Amino acid sequence: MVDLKNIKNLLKLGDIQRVESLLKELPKKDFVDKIIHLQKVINKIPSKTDSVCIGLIGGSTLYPLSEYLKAFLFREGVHVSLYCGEFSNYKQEILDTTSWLYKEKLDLLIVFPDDIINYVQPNISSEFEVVNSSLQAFVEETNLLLEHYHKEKPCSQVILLNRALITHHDFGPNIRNSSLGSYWNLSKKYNELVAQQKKSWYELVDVEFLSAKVGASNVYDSKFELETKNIYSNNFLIEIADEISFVVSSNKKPIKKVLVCDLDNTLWGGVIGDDGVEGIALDEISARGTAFKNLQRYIKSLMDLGVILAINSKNEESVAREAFETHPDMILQWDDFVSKKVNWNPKSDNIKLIAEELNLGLDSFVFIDDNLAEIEIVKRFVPEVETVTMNGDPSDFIQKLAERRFFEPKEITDEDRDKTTRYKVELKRKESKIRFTNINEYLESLLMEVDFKKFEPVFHARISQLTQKSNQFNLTTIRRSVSEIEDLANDSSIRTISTHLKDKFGDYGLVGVNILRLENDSLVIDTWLMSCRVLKRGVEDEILNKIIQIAKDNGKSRVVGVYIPTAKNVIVKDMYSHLGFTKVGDTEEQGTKYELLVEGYQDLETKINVI
Amino acid sequence: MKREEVFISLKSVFEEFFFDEFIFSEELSADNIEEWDSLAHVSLIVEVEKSFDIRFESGEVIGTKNVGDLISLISKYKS
Repeated sequence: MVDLKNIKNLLKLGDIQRVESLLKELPKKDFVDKIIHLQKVINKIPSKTDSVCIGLIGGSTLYPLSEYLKAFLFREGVHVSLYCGEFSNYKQEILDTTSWLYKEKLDLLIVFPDDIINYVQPNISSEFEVVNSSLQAFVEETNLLLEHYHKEKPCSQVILLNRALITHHDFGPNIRNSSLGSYWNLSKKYNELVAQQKKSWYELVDVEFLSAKVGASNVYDSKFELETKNIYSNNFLIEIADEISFVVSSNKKPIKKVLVCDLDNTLWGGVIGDDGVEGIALDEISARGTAFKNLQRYIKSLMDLGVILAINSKNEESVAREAFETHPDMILQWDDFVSKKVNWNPKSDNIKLIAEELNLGLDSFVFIDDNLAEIEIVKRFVPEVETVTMNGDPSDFIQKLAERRFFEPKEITDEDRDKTTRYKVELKRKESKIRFTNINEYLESLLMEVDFKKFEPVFHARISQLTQKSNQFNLTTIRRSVSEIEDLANDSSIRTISTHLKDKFGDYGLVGVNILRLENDSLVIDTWLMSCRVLKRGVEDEILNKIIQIAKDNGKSRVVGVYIPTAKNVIVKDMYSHLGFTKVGDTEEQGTKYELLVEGYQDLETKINVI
Repeated sequence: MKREEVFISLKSVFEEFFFDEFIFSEELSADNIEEWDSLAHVSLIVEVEKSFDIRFESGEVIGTKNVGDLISLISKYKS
């Protein structure tokens, strides 16, 4: 709750500092909720001499956007003197070099252009080309105006707003995307042109993205528009102000370069020291395990953006290292972390050491941890470091980190552009490979690799999970617990296969499970299940080749398979027949029994490379 | 909601909203509070709608000259 009375009293008493820190400490939601009051408080605070001078001009009313903007910037620690242009007078203000724009020493000019609807005045029957050229003229005109200002005031930063998408005034899908008389199409086209013709010396605030984020129904308020001449709703103006303030303030803040990660319950679920490599939640089957894997993917992409990664964890180093080196679902690798502090020292000390090692300021560090106590220690002893608490639901972790916007690149460097060219070359190479005319060529183009393993301890939990969850490609649907899987792995009358598949698009991980029983002269397929993601690629053919090999190695003359029908496994009803097995009868559990002789078996051909 | 209840709720909205000293009454109008200009009016109405969880129709608020009129208008939605 916001204690407005207290804030107002402090203001009357002249305790500006206390008011400032109270406002900064308010949670964002409360701040937004009470922004109408808070902006009035902020207006009463005398401006400082080092304040940033901002001009806001545009084609619609600039109140209350101007007030919200001041409030958000204040919260970010940027004091501003804000000058607003007159209602819908921005073109004259820019062109007249004797206007107030040129008298003030503006550090920044924000331009909220005319509403395109007023400018273009489209209607459904308008010719596409006519509307398009008028739209084009508008974008060019805006650019010329900005250029005029930029020439006169080269040191002043310039920010241009594009347009929220317009979903009202819609005439259905046929008109929506064909006529520029449709506001939806018009607003999309306009933003496209603005982006294409953007000059490097100004920044674009992407109102279109914001409108998609909050949903168009929150963007417009026709009564508010009619009564106050604001083209957007009050709440959306708050959203825009927040975004502009982020763009302005992030240019003034130290750039974050390093992400320091805790391990247990941050990069994976569970405690590696207690649960072991097999016991931690990090997989692509359970929701919880996938959440952690996705977080690792997100952090990996930060690394690709140039963010330096470090570990700061209370663990035995050898145990942590083993997890990275042996866990099959680990996206981040041990060597991805430039600095590793895995010990029992205070985490704040560790961070100081990492900063020394990397020769980087503490204010370029971000620290993530699930443990509030650790976060507190870091906050207290290295207050320059930004922290994100990764507690609660792991599916929110990416959002928690991403919404702080620490690592957004400020500008695209030449190197990045080179990178883009390299990617494009790469892409072309890939594209040329993708051409194919039939299924075999397609399968060949996938460059599939299969790895057959016996059941290994790190996979036991996943194998068990697959037996619990696979319903479709599952011949016998026998469910097994982790301890049952462990027993089977150690049983001398049992042979096991776990199948792992990769192709040029990525690693699918564990996609198949087979449990085979040695019985007299036969090898009996107790369990055969596969992930449906990899059907029709020949994986089952390679598995059969492998099964026959195992039968031979163990001196068995036949392979016996059983199909037990369930409500969900019709897909594999005829699999054994298709693979060349002969039906030999029914089993007690209403199943069908098949067999295949080892002698004379010829390996099935596939496009898969078996490692 | 009774007229007296609307009066009391609106009084607290006003007290939160304005910095200037004023005596809240049915006769209070923009003439009596310096900071109550046309811009502040926009925000005041947003705040009134929010705290009473109502939405005036377009043009309705223009017709209100003072607090008494505003209370009548709110009462219409809160009856």
